Amino acid sequence: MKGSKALIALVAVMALLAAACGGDEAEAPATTAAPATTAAPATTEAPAEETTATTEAMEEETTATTEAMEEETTATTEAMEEETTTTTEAPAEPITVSVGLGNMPPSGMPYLGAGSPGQYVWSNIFDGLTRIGPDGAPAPWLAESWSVAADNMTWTFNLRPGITFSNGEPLNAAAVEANFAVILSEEGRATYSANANNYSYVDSVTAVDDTTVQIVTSAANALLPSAISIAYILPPAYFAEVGPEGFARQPVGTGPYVVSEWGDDKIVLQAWEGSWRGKPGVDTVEYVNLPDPAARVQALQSGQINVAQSPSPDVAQSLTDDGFTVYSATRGQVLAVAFITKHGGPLADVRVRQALNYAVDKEAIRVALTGGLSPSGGLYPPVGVNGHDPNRMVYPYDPDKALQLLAEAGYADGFDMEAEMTLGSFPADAEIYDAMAGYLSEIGVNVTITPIDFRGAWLPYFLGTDGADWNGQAFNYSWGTAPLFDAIRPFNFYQCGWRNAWYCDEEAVPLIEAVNTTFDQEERNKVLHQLLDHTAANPPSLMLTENFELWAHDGLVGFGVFAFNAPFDGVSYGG
Amino acid sequence: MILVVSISTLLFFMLRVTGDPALVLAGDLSTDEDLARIRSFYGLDKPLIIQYILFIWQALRLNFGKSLVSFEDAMGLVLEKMPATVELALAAILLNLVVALLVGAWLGYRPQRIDRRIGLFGVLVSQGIPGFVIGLILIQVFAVHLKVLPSIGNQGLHSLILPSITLASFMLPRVIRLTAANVDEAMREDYVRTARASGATSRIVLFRHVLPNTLVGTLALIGVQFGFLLSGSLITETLFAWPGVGLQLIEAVRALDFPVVQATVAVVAVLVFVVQAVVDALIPLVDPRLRSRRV
Amino acid sequence: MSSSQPGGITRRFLPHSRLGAPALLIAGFLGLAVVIVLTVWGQSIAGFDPGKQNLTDRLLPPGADGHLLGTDKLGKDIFARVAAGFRWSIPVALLATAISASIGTTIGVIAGWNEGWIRSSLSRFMEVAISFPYLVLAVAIIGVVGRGFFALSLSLGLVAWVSFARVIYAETRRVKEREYVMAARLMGMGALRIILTYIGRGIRPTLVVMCAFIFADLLVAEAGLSFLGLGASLRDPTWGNMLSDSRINLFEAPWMMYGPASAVILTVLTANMIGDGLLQYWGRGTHQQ
Repeated sequence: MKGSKALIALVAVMALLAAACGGDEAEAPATTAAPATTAAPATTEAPAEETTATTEAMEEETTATTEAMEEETTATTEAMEEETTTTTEAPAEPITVSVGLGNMPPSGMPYLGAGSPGQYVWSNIFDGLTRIGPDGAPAPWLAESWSVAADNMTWTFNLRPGITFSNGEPLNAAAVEANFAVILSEEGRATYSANANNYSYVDSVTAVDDTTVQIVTSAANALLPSAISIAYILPPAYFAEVGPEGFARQPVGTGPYVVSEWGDDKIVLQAWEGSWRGKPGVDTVEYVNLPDPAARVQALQSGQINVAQSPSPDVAQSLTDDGFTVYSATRGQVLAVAFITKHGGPLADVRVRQALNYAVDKEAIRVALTGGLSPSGGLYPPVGVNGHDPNRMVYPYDPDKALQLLAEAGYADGFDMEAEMTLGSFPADAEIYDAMAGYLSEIGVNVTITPIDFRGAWLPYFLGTDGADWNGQAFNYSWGTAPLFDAIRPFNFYQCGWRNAWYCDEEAVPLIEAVNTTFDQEERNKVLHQLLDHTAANPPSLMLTENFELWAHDGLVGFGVFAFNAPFDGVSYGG
Repeated sequence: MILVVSISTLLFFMLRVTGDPALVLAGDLSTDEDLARIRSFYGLDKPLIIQYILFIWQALRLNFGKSLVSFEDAMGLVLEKMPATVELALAAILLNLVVALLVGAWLGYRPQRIDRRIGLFGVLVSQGIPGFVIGLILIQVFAVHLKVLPSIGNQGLHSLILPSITLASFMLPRVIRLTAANVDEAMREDYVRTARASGATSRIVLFRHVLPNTLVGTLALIGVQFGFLLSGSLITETLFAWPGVGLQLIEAVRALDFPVVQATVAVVAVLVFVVQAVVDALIPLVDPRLRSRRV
Repeated sequence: MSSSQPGGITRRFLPHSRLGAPALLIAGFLGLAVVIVLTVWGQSIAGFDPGKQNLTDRLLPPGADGHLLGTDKLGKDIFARVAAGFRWSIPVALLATAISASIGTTIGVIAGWNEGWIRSSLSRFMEVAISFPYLVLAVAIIGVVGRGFFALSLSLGLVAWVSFARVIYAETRRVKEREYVMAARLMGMGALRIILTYIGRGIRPTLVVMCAFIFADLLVAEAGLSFLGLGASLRDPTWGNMLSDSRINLFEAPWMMYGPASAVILTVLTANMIGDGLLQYWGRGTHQQ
């Protein structure tokens, strides 16, 4: 008895020692390297035009003044005591940029998602045939040019020659064909539906010659070049060798960065000079998982990260005063809460859904909680998106009307509902949902907000993976238009045909179909507006405020986020 | 072996009795077919006793299955994060020992004096301050205002400072109070009186006789409260984004990643049990009275 | 293994202070009076509805527009919310304490009264159970049960019982050896009756003191869980939720933290002082060998 005790003690002490030593080994040198240059970075200012639906609205930078920038430079140098303040032409020291993200990408396998947070990271590793530019339109990317045949259903894409993946495989038409073969297989369409559903009408992709790819669609869809911008091209031989799970652990692409670590809490990318996109200005990009917005801001303020995603708009001003640059841009997306009606319940009644839209003061939320940074409250489609109309009807704040509609529907005393939400990924989202619930409680609708994890719960529920499904009557699902920047995009999910359809409006189905198959822009827009009118009267969700990109950083030059692309290859500290 | 079985038994029933994991995964409004599919996928469709045996079998092999999020071995994920948590806990314990012995000796040495009474009352008040409030204040002062210490992550010794103070504060008031009481008591014991009578100054008595004896009680309390300390590390790790098992557990719970949750609880329970065994084994080595008794 | 000295556990678990019973009890009951006043009349004192948001009056400093402790980021009155928190957090901690005391006392008395395999297996079980870091287990249970008032009370109750069980076990063993219990047994009194009368009376002081301490612990635990977003529902007015909300605006609106933090401190301090005071009032000596 005594002996065994001593043995346990010995083993335990050794284990503790080993653990402690392991901890020491894990210590890494401080990673943040702030620039020691004195020159204030040039601030790119977009002309402040009054026009609404123009592309200039895509980028709008809250500029810090020069004095503020200088303050910031001294502040950072003070903070970095070990860093020697080298002057101008010092030998180029590797620049590491550490980015605090609210949610980590769902996987290293880019077909498993679309939009934020995945594309923030993927856009540095992978490329698609096209890429959405800051103007919201598709730009030549891996494909130099493209054309569509007279039938509006046969597309030809001409690849840029001489591009290789970072593992040495060539990027050619055969590689593109192999990728689409995986995505468009029956299994692929199911597994990768979050991505593939954006271009579900693609029938076949074939290599004509080494640099020519032919894409045939089942319907005439004018938005194909935008849609396939998120179909990242992976090296087919490597992918076949390691499989999707192996690929997710060690992703390989054509972009300017290669993955040196892909973990749950941390992703590290190293610059790859061999990329066709050239040698990037930032040598190492680190993404750190910081779900809490307050922690991200604190980490930025204390110099541990260089870029913070979605700081609270409340702290935007004080961050600017401290010398940080606050970047904001539109993202063609409206924050919304989707109503789950497939099981019936109060929300299945259109009057109830209208009532909830009347009950929330979107404009007050926009002004108070987004600091006025959101361009509009409750308006869909948002600024910079095809279909946008500033005069389109928005449900006004009218609690009396809401109460009347509820009473008509037989819910004069209100009802209880649960909403599952991911929190902390959009600027002020938690506060906005909280305020929404506050407004709804005033008409007797008591909303319980259940915070859920994006990767572990939201995505499986959304996709219906292994029978996973929503627990409540609502969840947060924004009306996002990227990468199409066309009002039709979210309808491909908010509809009866979606694999785990939570909402089904039979009347909208033919309209959605018509928009998706009409090639002529004018005619298409006519149907699109019919669809939008119909949807406004039959709201599938509670529209809140237009979403926006909000990032704070320590003086990077060239930093920008458009259509969820957050490339670091053109970013530097100036000087 | 018995330990693992008992821990797993408790864990199994606590988790199974309180809810149906299939329902959580599938949703309240899911159809019966959905539930059946999920149940068979996770082996939840078998009778409870079979599930229990399977669970114990898994636990004995230390195999809790794969994470539902990252598809990696749950046990491996937990063990990978263990060193960071142990590092933080050791730092907090060390801090506790040092501070508690110093402050406790000061408080317990002449407990009647008015400044000591005020001090003791201060300790009593501080017992009501949640550790995370202390953490919040530390971050605000040292990381945000003064910018001298990091507030997130594990990047070397200086990033250990704020989290370990925060974690230590979870049990420090308790440990100080016990140490003070023990010092107070020890001062009145025979051997102290003897030492004093033979001419030793009170300071020598305190440091040579009283404190070593007090150390035993303090150590024992820390041993008993080690589980409490690890509870505190959940909050501390979240607050400072410290990459340990606590943060991982919180994220696993949010993501409904049950294999990781089970593996974490099992590993942590074993760790606490082992630490208590170590403390129990160490006490006779430190305590001169017990030592002489054993020999 | 550490249960070889019952008295040792009791002492270890209930570290006493030397502040003197009367002073502690007076201070404790004063605190209790304040807690009761705030629980019952707090919201009328505040003059605002704790759930009423007003986005134009957000982040007002204390005193502005009649808001005693200022407003939060949705323009809700902080004093009213802190007062509502008394009606939320205290019942949670009370219910959890009651659950854990019932389970713990039952197991503790059974283990202490019986001898042989029942005692040895139960005490073995308690040793294992005490190894569980209770917040870790509570978090795991909440993962399955979900959030909210009853889930939270249940999880906390289910993890705190073992503290009661160990102390009650030791106390029961001690009381059982008393002459009057021995005499009752010799007179042929039934075990259940002895337990309900003599043992019950004997362990009552310890039980009351333990309840005060465990209540304080569970109150802090509740705040901690809610702070992690794993306790109360997001919009419930609990102190943990309020403290969690205060993080983002700690710099511009530090008053968001003062109210809820003071409420936690006040309540925990009150419970601890009453527990300490009673412990000393009933005599320190009884718990030592």
